[in-house]
Amino acid sequence: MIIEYENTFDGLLSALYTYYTCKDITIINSSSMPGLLEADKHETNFENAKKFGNRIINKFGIAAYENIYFAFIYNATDKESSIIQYINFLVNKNNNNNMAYFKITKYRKEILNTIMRFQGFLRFSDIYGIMYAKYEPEYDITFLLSDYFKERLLGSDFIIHDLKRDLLLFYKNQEKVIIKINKEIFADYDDTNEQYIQNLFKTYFESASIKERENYKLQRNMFPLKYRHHALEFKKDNTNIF
Amino acid sequence: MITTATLEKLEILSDAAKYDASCASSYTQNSKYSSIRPFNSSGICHTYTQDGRCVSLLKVLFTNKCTYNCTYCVNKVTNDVRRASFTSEELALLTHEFYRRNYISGLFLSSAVDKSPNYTQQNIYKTILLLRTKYSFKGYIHAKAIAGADLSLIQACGYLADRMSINIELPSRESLKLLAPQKSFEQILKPIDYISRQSRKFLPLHNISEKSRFLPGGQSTQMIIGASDDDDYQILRTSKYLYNKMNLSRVTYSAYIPVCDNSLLPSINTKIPLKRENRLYQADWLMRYYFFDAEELISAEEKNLDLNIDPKTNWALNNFNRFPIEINNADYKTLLRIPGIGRRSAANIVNLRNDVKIDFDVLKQMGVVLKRAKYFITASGKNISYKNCNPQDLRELFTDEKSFQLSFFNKGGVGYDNRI
Repeated sequence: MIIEYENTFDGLLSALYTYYTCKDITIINSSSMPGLLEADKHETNFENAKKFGNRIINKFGIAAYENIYFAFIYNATDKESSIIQYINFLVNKNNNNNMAYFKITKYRKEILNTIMRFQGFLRFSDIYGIMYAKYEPEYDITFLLSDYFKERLLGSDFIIHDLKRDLLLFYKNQEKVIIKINKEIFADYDDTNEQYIQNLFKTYFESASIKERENYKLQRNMFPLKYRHHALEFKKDNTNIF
Repeated sequence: MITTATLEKLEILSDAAKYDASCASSYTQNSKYSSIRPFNSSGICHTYTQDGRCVSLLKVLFTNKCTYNCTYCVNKVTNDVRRASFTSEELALLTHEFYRRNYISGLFLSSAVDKSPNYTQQNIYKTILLLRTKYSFKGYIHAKAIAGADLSLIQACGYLADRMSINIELPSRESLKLLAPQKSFEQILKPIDYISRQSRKFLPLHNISEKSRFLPGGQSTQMIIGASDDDDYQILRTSKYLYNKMNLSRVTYSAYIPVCDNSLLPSINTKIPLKRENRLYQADWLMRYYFFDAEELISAEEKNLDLNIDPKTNWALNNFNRFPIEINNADYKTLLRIPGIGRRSAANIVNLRNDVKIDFDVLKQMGVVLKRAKYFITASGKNISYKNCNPQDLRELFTDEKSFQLSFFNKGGVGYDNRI
């Protein structure tokens, strides 16, 4: 039997619960190969999802739970089977299937690296007293990032806008809301003070470089071109970045 | 207040501060004011400049008006450069504005010695005091201690900053005398010694809240490479002394960039000794994280590190009789000595080998550089390449590996790897 779950983490956990209670099931998610396979829709059961999640945490620790989450947002095409193989590896470490372990470790590393990068590369602008940042990450890490910026921005309200997925995370009064929005906001916002501070940073960026040691290749390795689109210091013209 | 003049000041004073590498990390285990932890244990890089170096702090001088005349320095009094000074209020606000926009993780504040050491230290103190109080700044602060300033002033800064540093610049008394006659070794070592004694007072036994801790990030220093005749042996011996006796967190090495023409200095057309700097950083890392001793890496007769081969491989080839090492039962410290195995791989091997038998496939998955490591290890008694090789051939092999060295070079960021 093939079951198709709604492509959310709870959906996955709930489907995994079903997988481990019934036998002979294949799990696919709703966004993979639509219509190609005849699959039963799996209604997300939040209780089962919670139960399954807790079982993983109690048995294998929080790191294992995190790893499953990372594998989920890494969004490889075979994520369901690698997650199942990984859980099987945790259950029986001697079954010689350590490839799943390395695969998951790779996903984890990749996701953490991306988060780490955006912790630095995200640029906020002060717009009507709200800190606003937009970016286009490869993975859906907005929620994970927001935990960090909650502390980093000293409790001020902020918006992180994922332009790739049209997701907007709004943090206000200790609460997080994620909404779907498919257009740029603040596109025509203009403020000379904000502009001036951005210019100051651009100036700093230019003068902090040592000409004699120029190494564009290294710079590209460390700050890949794909991330530069929203980093103000790489904008050549003086247009603002809102 | 941030005014239109701030732009020019920032340009001049960040330009003047950029040669200082002693701020390389912006992360401390016990950051004072902040509970936030990055996901990895190193500092956050907010951007990378054209030279590929990480920008994590706002690195500026308070002023570049200097009374000293150190031969190697751009800001020396006889040099004709544009001069500027911030005001404490201006700099504090600027840092705050940058910080809340996530441009930087903190402030690195150095200064030329204007008027007197005390006056300069006071300005630094005023700025970071404003930041911590008026702007409740929770970021990282690295402040310079000025040699010759009152120790009480340095102490006061120490309670506000996360890390402080005094640059030694030249590793020996003689070269300091020659190139910076207004400074003396004793004058520089005095505050270093004072800070290390102060920090020791607050070590674990004392139950003191994080906030009131003295310099949780310890202190660091910088040495210039290639401005004087000092050799690598002397430099590494000085580093060893600083790490062991003065409890320094970090010694940085900065390849000398010829900025002034002077008969005492290398000529203005000298190539910047980047490779040498890179080798010194490698040796430094080996001393701090790989349990190597300075004397193991370099002897007094050799004088300088081999530029063609990295110090760890060099050591392994000189001690080839200690190899091969069996991956499945060697301890952590022994694993670390194998070329191609780093700290992460060594820890992975130790963690995983209880559950999984380690063979070459597993090592490859872990990210061990087998290209190099395969000549030094066995896995469950087996080995693909160890047989029939001798150190001389290997040395040639590794020296010829141009591509390997290049990638290694890039990865290390010419020593400005901030991931400590």
